[in-house]
Amino acid sequence: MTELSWGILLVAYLFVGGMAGGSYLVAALADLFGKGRYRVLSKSGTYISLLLILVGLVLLVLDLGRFEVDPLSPLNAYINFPNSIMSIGTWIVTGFMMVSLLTSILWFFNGSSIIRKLLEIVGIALGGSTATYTGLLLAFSRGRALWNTPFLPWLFIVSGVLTGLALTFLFIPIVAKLIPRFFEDFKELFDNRKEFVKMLRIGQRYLVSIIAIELVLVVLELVLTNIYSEMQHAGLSMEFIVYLIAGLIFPLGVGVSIENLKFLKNERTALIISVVGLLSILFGGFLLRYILLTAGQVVG
Amino acid sequence: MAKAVLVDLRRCIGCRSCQVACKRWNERKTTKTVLNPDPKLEWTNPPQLSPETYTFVRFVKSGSGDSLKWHFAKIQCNHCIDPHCVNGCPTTALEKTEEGPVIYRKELCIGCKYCVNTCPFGVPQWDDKNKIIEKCTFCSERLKEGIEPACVQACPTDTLVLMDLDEAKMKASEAESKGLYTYGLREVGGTSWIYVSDVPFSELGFPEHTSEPPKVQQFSLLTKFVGTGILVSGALLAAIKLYAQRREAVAKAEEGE
Amino acid sequence: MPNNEGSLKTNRRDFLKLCASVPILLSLRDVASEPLLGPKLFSATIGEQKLREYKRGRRVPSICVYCAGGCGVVLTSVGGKIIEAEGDPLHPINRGSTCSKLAAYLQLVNSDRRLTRPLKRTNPLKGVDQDPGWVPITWEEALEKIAEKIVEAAATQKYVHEEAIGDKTVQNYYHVGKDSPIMWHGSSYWSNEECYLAKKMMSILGSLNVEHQARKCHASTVVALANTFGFGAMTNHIIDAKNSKSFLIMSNPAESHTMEFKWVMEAKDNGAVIINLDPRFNRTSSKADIYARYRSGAEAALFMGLNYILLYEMPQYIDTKFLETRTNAPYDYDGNLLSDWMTNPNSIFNIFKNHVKKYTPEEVERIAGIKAEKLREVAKAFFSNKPGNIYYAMGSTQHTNAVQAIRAQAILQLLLGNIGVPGGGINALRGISNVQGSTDMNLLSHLIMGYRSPPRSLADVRRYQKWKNSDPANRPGGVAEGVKYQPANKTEERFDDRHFPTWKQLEYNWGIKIGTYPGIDPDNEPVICDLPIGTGNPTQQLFRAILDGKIKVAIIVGENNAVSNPNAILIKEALSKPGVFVVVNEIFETETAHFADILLPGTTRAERNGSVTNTGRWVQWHYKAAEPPGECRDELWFVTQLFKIIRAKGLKIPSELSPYEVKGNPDLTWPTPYKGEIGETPEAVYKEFGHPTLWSHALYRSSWDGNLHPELGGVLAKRRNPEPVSEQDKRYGYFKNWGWSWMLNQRVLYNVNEDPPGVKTFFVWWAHNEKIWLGLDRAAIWSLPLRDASKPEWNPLRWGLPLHNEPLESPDEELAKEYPTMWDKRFEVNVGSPKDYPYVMTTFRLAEHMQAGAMTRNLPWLVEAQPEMFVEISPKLAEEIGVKIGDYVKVKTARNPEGIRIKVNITERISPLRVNGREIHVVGMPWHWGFKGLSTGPSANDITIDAVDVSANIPEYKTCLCNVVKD
Repeated sequence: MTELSWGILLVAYLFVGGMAGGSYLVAALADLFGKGRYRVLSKSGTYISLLLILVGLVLLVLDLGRFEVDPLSPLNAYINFPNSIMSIGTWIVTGFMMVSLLTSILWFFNGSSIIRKLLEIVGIALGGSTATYTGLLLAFSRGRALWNTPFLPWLFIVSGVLTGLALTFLFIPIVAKLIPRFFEDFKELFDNRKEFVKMLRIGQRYLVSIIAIELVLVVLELVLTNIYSEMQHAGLSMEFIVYLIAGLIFPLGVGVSIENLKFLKNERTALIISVVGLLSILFGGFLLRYILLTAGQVVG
Repeated sequence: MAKAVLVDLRRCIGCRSCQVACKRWNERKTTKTVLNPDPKLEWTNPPQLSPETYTFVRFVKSGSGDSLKWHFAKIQCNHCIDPHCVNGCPTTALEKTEEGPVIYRKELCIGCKYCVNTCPFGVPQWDDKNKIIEKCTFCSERLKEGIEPACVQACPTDTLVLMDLDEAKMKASEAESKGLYTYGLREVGGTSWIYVSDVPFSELGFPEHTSEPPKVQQFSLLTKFVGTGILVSGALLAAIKLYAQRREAVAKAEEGE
Repeated sequence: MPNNEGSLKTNRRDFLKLCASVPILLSLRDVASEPLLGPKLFSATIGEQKLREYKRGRRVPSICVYCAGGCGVVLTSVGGKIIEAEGDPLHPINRGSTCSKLAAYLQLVNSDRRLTRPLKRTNPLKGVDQDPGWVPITWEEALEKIAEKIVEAAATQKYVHEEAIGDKTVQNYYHVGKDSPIMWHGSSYWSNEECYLAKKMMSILGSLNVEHQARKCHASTVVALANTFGFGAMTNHIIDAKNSKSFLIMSNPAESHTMEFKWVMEAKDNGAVIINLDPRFNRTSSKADIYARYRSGAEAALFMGLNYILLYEMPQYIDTKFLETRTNAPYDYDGNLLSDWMTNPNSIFNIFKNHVKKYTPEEVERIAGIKAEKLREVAKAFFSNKPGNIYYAMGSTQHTNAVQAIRAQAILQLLLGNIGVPGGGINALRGISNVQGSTDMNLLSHLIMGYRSPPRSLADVRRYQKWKNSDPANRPGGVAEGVKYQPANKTEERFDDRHFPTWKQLEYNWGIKIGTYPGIDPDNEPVICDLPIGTGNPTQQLFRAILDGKIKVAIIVGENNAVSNPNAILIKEALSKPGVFVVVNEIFETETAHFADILLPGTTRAERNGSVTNTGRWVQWHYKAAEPPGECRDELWFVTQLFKIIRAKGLKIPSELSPYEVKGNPDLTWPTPYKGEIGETPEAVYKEFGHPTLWSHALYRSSWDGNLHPELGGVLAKRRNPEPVSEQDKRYGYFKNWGWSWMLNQRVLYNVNEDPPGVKTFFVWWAHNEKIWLGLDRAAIWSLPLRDASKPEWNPLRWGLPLHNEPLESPDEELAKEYPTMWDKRFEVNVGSPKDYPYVMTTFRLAEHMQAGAMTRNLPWLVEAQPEMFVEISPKLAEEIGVKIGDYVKVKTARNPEGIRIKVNITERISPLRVNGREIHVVGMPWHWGFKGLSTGPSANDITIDAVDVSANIPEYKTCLCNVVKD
């Protein structure tokens, strides 16, 4: 068996990085087009994006093989711009991190909303690119047939937005419970349970659409490439099925039923089910990265 | 002057002197091997590239009975004319030199291992002990001095011959016109190691690749990526539109009740 | 090597130019060159470091130690350490290339597994499982101990032999060579000079129990070819393959003699046809135009079949002119030249034609399992593409009827006129780097020097004394008033002609005495002979002699009998026998060394000077590149010192022990009479056997020529000029200024057209009666020395012409009855029946491993490539016995009914054969493994058969019966 050059750290980075880009994207869009209705959601998404991109950077640097030999070596990643997709990615992530940081500061200290929105316009591009470049990076890998498809980057983007949005929702109660002192508007929203659940319900519509897109992409992959047989070859067919269920079918079910099933009208039940659905999305998103990255390397 | 090695697999007797000579010049250690358990690849040892193995000879059987054939294929870095690894390396630690070799400078490397994954032939190997990439260097230092690579020098049957790239291309094209198979003449935009064989390379376990060099391949992939995006989002928009219409209709109907 | 001044500057410039050529990179690369991002200078890669070392190293040419190809090696040493060992780019044979073994030579030289100190055994018990309990000792202690044991053992050998002549009894002083309690085994890895000295020492010690690898690889070649052509060696040479138009390959040169295949491929480029016959499809088969399987042991039948096809079905390819002018085909048995020999039934040509009548392709198919049509296809391809070249090796030589199998091949080549032409020949591929040289130096129990016999009996010595009396001025010990030489018959005269000049020279060169005292009446006087008389024990019998308690001291150098002799369990038993003092000189602790009482650390060829002779008879010099590690001492020094100490301890030779005043003095000429001139050097020994005016070595005479090359000290083996000396040289690739080849630098033996010429005639005397000698220049289709009228009709020895005979263990009882084995039960062998052991077993070699394995199984690079012992069986047999690839099986033979446990490799490259209408399974395994080294495994020779060829005493390694069961 070939030793895997990219392991769990990189899986985590791909997951976290995609989520960071996705959450910022959603947050910025909500802020730009939400007419002020989704301020908390936008804040949550922005903070998360900053948090995640920092975590992602740590993961990335830890995964770099020569970091421990030469701690300054990661800086070399800026050199081969714009030839290397990875170098491009480094510049993108750097820029995104800056924008995310500035946006977060502006949100936190209630800074100029004009500047914030301008930043968000730039940030949408950079966040989108952050979620995209990892997929393209894999897709450019000619030695890996599994990755070498145009669907993979889309899958990564969609999954990034999906998981990003999911975490954005989850972040609100977490912050509201843990550190309400600095995030009073979060607490306010969460305490107003009815309002929060309503937002969740609306959110579920978006989630359902995004899941639907991801499903379409997965189906396309299944039909147009031999992804399943390669998963089998890599011994990951079980994981693949778990991803389909936990990452797509189950949350889709949650999203659809929460609007349509009577017994879910109950707020508490709806909240719990929603949270489970959101967690399931996150799990599925991680699994997706894991199986794609691993199977791609094993099959070659 | 760009150099190339023409690998005429019809001449290879599988003696593995290239494999050992490479280990000698490049001071490679060994990997633990056992009798290769794959009946089609019997005797192939070591079975794959590794940080300690820049090159090995793959033993492949084909046919059976009276038409039984035994082929030997030396595997190493093909030193692409326009290498994916060089293109993809974020730091320029990998470099295509004028003489032909793709060389590696550890001082620039960050250990991202992208080359390991992007190489169309699965050549670069991450040495986790020494935290460096290992791969065939085409004996770049020898080439600069006008000395053949160690494996080429060692080859007893002239399976491996060092020549100018243009000459190698010409010879391979000639061979092709005689009905022989080539590899590296066009694959991934051409390589500095060009193979000639009397069996299709798919039988020898060589991956199939188009002739696109990295930039072209990436561009076409990007085009497909955008195209897919437009297609899928178009379809989705249509679906959403239909869905919305239906919801409206349902809502109206409900209202009507 | 090219001039590389200023190259670094160039590199830097190129580097910058490359940057400039990629504009998009330019700005960022400039940033990259700043210390901020990435270093400006890079540390050297492994290759760059190595090249730096390499460039300042000292380069020394040497010759490869592995097979007998004689490839050139260039050793590069820095500060006394060899840092690179590569193919010699100047060398005409390998042109810088190597096989995998030579590619790994550096790892051999620098191996930390090498022995570096003399070791003494402390555990008196010997056996595979016994720890020898080595303790280091000094060389002085070791040599003292060995000398002591030798002197002690020698004292037990009888040197006074009473003989009744008429009514009186005389006391003769001599040793019977076979009775010596001191044996010597090895080595083809030693240089000519070392082998010469070893033989010289052992002969002076009175022992003919001297053997080495050659017995086990090409002893049958020597007998077969010498009796057909005159010399028992490969007729052509390595490079000559390029002149061939067809190859009939009975061996596996792609693996066992890789560099030979360089030239086969070159011939293939020029349209040559490659035909490969082998029980197993191997790496040579992969390049063959025609490949066919046959049953191991049926080689004679195969070639009798080809002879049949040539004589009866395709007579247009017979070279009648060649037969008429250069063979004994046009003669009758009585030596009369028959003008109508083509039709006269009494001509040897027609006698032979009649002789092969039985071997129709259909009959050969029945015996050998090769399809009749395939055989015809082979015949047509080989006959119609001349010159055709037969390559053979152990597949033909290791049988009880090997001499006959090889004779059948040689006769085919004579009929085709493929002898004595570039690109033709019958080419025995020899397996060890100096096995031709060590054979030439006659480390064999029946020869003394230059393929001469020691005195066979006292009568020989008495006649020799008379011969000396005939020219007392020029012959030592000749007595003017003594009885003069008068040969009784032609056979005697022929023997005396060949031997007496050599014996005479040995008297000078070795400081010994051969003759009678006082020499006046040799027939009635006591014989005093310092040369041992008779013949000694061939290898397999020698180890049996140990078991019989006849050997007290066994010196084994550079040879691994515990792995390489057949029925090796018996060998290990012999080596374990109490009371036998075993001395081993080796570079690694081998399986044989495991049984040693004293283990001496030898040196590799990289650490010493000397000459070696390749399979094509090229004598080449190898130079010392570095001092050996630790306390390793070179082999020439070892033999030189050992003999000095033995003498210092008072060992006397028969003439010294005799009461007569004729006393030999071997000390004056030890190690060589030229020591005064050039010291105790290899060059001095080389001069002793290579001197042009002496007869100490019939073949190497004139390999030393002080007038021709004073700058080389006369050592012609040192010549390294690849320039051709003539048009022919250029065309055929003789390379006559490179080294030297016997005879007299002839490159293609028996080639009358060679320019410049060496010795080009055939050298066979085939006397048919006591009156007439038939000339030197006729090759013998019918061979008198290989005839014994007392033998039964099925025995080829009755006819002096080959026949097929089944191996001792034949898989088919019917065939065994029809074609009885030649084995004459000269000693007891455990024989199995096809009922218990239904499969034919054969052994083979791998490109990555060398013979008994010590020099490759200790090298990680080669172990990686061929990691473990295995047995190859066909998918069909695998199904029958229910095993999968990688499973273990027990392979059992009558020698070892318990069997040995081996990993199984299932491959279509091996396939059952139809023999006599029945399907016979074939099982093959490499024989390189043993219980010592980096990679250990069961030894194939623990189960092979130890019966030997009746004419050459070479064991029948290649064919026996076995059973395979799942373990």
